[in-house]
Amino acid sequence: MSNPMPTATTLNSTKHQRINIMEKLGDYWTLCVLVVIILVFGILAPSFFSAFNFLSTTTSATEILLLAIGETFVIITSGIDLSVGAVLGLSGITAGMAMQALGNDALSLIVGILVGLLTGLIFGLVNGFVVAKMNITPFIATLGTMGIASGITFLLSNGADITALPTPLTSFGSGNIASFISYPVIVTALLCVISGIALAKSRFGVHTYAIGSNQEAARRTGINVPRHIIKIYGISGLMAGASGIIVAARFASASPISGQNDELNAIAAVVIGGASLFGGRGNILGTVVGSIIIAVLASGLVIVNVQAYWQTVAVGMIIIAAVFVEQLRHRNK
Amino acid sequence: MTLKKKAAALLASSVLAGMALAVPAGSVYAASKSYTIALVPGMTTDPFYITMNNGAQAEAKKLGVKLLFQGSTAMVASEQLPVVNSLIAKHVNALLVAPADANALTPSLKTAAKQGIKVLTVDTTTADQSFLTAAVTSNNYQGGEAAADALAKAAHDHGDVAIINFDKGVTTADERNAGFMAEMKKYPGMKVVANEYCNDSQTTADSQVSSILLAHPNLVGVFGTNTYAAAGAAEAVKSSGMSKKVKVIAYDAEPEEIQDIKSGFIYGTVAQNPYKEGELAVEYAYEAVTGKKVKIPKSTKLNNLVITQQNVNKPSTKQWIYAESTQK
Amino acid sequence: MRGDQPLLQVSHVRKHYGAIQALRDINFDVYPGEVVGLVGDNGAGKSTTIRILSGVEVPDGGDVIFEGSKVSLKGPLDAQMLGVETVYQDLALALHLDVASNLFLGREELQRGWRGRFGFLNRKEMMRQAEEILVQMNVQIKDIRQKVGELSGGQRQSIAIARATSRGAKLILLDEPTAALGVQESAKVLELIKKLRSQGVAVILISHTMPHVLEVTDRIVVLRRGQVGGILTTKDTTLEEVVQYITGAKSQHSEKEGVLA
Ligand SMILES: Nc1ncnc2c1ncn2[C@@H]1O[C@H](COP(=O)(O)OP(=O)(O)OP(=O)(O)O)[C@@H](O)[C@H]1O
Ligand SMILES: [Mg+2]
Repeated sequence: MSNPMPTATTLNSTKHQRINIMEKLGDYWTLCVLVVIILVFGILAPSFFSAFNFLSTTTSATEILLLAIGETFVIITSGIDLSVGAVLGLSGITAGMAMQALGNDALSLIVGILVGLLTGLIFGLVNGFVVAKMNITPFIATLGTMGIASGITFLLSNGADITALPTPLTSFGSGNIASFISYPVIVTALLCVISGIALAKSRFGVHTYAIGSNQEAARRTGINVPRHIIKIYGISGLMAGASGIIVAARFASASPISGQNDELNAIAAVVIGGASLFGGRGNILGTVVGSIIIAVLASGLVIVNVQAYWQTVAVGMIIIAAVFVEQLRHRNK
Repeated sequence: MTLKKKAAALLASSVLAGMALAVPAGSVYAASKSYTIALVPGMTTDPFYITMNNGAQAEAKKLGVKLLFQGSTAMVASEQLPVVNSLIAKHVNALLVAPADANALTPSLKTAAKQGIKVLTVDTTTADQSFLTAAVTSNNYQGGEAAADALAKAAHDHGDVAIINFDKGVTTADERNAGFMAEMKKYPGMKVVANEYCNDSQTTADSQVSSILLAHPNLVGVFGTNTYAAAGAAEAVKSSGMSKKVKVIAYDAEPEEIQDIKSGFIYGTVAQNPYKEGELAVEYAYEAVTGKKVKIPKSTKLNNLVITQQNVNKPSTKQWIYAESTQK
Repeated sequence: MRGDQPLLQVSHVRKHYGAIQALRDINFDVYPGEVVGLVGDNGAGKSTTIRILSGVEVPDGGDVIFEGSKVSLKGPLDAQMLGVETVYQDLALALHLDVASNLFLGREELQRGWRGRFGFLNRKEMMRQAEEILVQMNVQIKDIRQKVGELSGGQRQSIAIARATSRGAKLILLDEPTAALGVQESAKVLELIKKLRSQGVAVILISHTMPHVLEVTDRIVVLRRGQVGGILTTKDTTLEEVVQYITGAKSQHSEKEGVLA
């Protein structure tokens, strides 16, 4: 670069401009929807604003949220992971079986947790391999592993719950601080922060967006796309494993049917959070909001004594509205 | 920008409208002095629980208390728990629950009891019962015994039988199994040759019974411990062409099952009394909440009735048949 | 501008796709800091030539000689390592990422110390360098935090070219960079190409727009049916003559190999 020649016009034109506040707010419009929903419930039934409801709603949100974190990474790369619900169930069962076999002590707890996480990770890596190396579309690849995971779950468990879980695990699952924040919520929040930072601030995150935005471009700039995709699905599997263990801890039993249909709620949470199924768009904060909206609707509708069936109706409406508003926002630009 | 605002407003108002539509006027606040009791069934769509709700509603009306019926469409603890938690947050006076899992709801139900909410289980129950005001259920053990007696009688005390359980680890299922097994021992000519679990799947039960029929030519009866297990078993028997020889005993008295008895598709069924369960549970809950000095039995087990072609048309049987919809 | 040794020599390169002989015998060279136009009718073999030079395709025969030594390019990374950057017809930018992220895609600046080891980006440094690059290349972007998808076609083209130069390229391959652009935007891209030459970077420019080719190139290589129909010195030729070579009305086929002009 021999002769840089900065001119007045260029200096002026590249000066940072404050990003429009409204635009920033627009990114978080789902947060406003959440606030409105909470206010409506609170006005209709003041008991909605109780510490217990906060405790139980946030705790029940963790199941979907943990899956949705992994799903966010996957969806940003323009993939989809349908297997997370089934992997959640399987991880709970493998962790439970390990702990049942080893007894009620600290070693059993640690080994059990590792077995559960490893189960999730392996399934995630297999998903990634099938997608990235065998070139099978994510929908089909993870539909396949979904079936495989749920089949193995029933083969291993014979359909029975595993209830002999170590006491430290179950007291973690039902434990809380000041009857306000449960341990599962703390762990989930921690994972949200870590993955949120990884996505927004790290090279890994930029490459994730780049692959979803333009996979060919990412490949041409030297990013090892297949390896990155395998890692992404690995994260998704790992989160499903974590969710499986936490669900088992919360319910003091590992059930082969837990996690069923969770993948659809997780995808819904991510989409409500502003991610695009075409890739390149999405963030953890949005996903957190999406997951909480789903959980708040579930608890709030019961509290105001509306049939719980309305939850799926409301979530369905919000998904469509979310995608519609995102489309408007992006068309406007 | 305006487009954005419009869209947001549209969304907010549609959500609000949806809720306004869904909230029946005046149902949100219970009158301050009256009591609210909530019934959380295993499944809101199951005739058994709908019948139970009818009994509970009738009793609640009689006592002048408000009864809420809230639950999930699948018998899954993870879907039941948020409902239970929300009702605890709402601070109902009493909670009647049919737990989908013997352990999963315990921490929450304990919290409820600690907060002064009377907790009763109906139908299924929890492993730890220390915090329960009462547990009302059908006598599932007696139901299993009654099924065994009916099959033995039909087979003239001679032949092989199989049991298809609907689930493992659910108290009601285990007790039906235990009752059936114990009672069968009393018949020296009878032998239980298969003890399978179909995981609440009709098709699984179907294929299990098909293989059992091949393996055991002396089979004379199958006990399916719930609707699905029995329906699958009956399907297998029918397609093997052995309906004459192999009798299927079902559980529960859904209108469809009654129809199946009349048509001969199944031999008989063990009918529970969910209506009575609902009545009793509300009565006990009311007594506990109002602090009346009546002694509430910790555990109540209602007996069952075996319905076969012999008694299916009797007027006294009618009240045992489950309802398909909520009584107004 | 022309140095003594060619930066790139293409010698007897051949390539076929099944029965189609896309390149029969391609011979030309490029000197450091030289802008060479590659023109020819549709299907003449321009894009195929570029794909071979950028490592995307492997030739069936012939040699690619870079800075005096024979190279075999097995992939795009091989070419990039040598200092050959390609700006593709379809741009290869991530539209959802901002300008700075695109400029640094695949070679991001990381923080120092432990944060860098965890892959934390040094956004500040990337922004600073990005501005520097854009100023240097005279590319006008309002805000480098803008997503590339929100920019105009010309701006995107400029960013793609700036990205190629910022990677220390010695030779930049441009495949129809002005094809989708309006008059003003095209003018900017042409300015950018002149800028590259002034910085000593060699450019191979594919274009169907002859006035553009005549405006910025030093020499013009005309391809016809997978062969070099002629090599013209831009300042000594005219639009009419170039078109005659493209259509085959004129040809320089000769026994002499290598440089013809
Ligand atoms: N991947 C391929 N498979 C088969 N044939 C190909 C392939 N790529 C190019 N060709 C053929 O090779 C010949 C040269 O194509 P090339 O794309 O290099 O032409 P071009 O000069 O870039 O044309 P245009 O001006 O239309 O871009 C054409 O006949 C084309 O059909
Ligand atoms: Mg071309």
